[in-house]
Amino acid sequence: MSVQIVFLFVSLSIIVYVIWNVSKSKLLEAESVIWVLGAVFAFMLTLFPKDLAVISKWIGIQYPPAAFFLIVVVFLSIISFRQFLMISKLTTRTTDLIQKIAILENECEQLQKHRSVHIESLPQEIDSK
Amino acid sequence: MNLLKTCIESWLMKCGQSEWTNLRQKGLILIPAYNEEANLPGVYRELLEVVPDHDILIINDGSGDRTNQVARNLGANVVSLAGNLGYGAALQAGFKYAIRHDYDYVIQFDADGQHDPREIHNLIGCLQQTDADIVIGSRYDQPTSYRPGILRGAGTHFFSWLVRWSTGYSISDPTSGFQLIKKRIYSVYAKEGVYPTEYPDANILILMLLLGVRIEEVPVVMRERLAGKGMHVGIIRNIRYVILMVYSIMISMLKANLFKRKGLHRL
Repeated sequence: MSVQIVFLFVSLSIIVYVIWNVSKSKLLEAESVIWVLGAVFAFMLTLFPKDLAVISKWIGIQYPPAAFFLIVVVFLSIISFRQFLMISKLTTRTTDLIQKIAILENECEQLQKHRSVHIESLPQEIDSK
Repeated sequence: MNLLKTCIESWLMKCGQSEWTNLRQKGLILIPAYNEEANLPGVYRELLEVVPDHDILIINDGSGDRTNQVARNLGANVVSLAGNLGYGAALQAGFKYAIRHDYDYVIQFDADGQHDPREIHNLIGCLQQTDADIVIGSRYDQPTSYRPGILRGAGTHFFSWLVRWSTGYSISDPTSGFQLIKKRIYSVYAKEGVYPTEYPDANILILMLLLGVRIEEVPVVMRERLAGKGMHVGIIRNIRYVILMVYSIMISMLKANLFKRKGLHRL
């Protein structure tokens, strides 16, 4: 019974912590959904532990805790893969940004050179007049 | 009758115009440089001397040494990346620059002094004669003075065989960094998700060949590297390169099937 209380407390605090972070804009809403869903799932399982046996029988696993670990591993794998996707996307964007900044910097320099040449030539024009 | 006359007139104008633009095609030489402070001045001065009609752009790929300063002191046009992105991404920055400034073709040129600037004329000659989209300066197209190490030679032959196996075309030197690329192609390279940012060698050529791009080769003489170290040094680095390249080639073959439906111009 005490294990159940600990689990209830842990899953509840995860939900609260995730939502608190989202409300402080530290975590993207879309990214937080999967964590909240996971915590809600854990919360439900601790409230109705017999459901785990039903699920494990449904998957075809004799020993319910093994089914639980399988679910957890699948869940973590999905999250990990999503992170790899995000990293790849961010790397592509950073590359594009660095390239664009460098090109724009080059253009700025060229314009500045052009401008300083132009300004230097101004007084001469006035003198000649 | 009047209509026919105007038609002929407009056709003649078009012909004249295309010939006129052909005569003054604008070319840009791209030099990706990573820690090349020792070789850059010599390479740059030689290029200025041999091909004064081309613009030169040095892309500093986040070098740790004084490459950026050396290039600027030469009075060169420099695009300096804020971090080390890799050879492919540095070149891609050059393609993006070329699009912005509307060049008809770009020439990739190594900063280490291995390429002979005089060969650029051969590449352009091939472009005018054959109407190819990509012209590669090949070390192996005919016997030259270039004698690579055994492993290096075996690697090139292996990738050359892979190109022939996957596309049916034969390219003797798919790892050559000495290439001339037309606008039609480099504007595709500039897009995300097409050009490999680390090693753009046989993989991108295979993708282009499968999409029906015409690639020609011109024999060139390669010189020895002037100073410093190249990209392909060390056993682990080379093993990593071969594994990544073979994997990338397989992905390229898959990509070719996806891209074929879209069409090259819509990538």
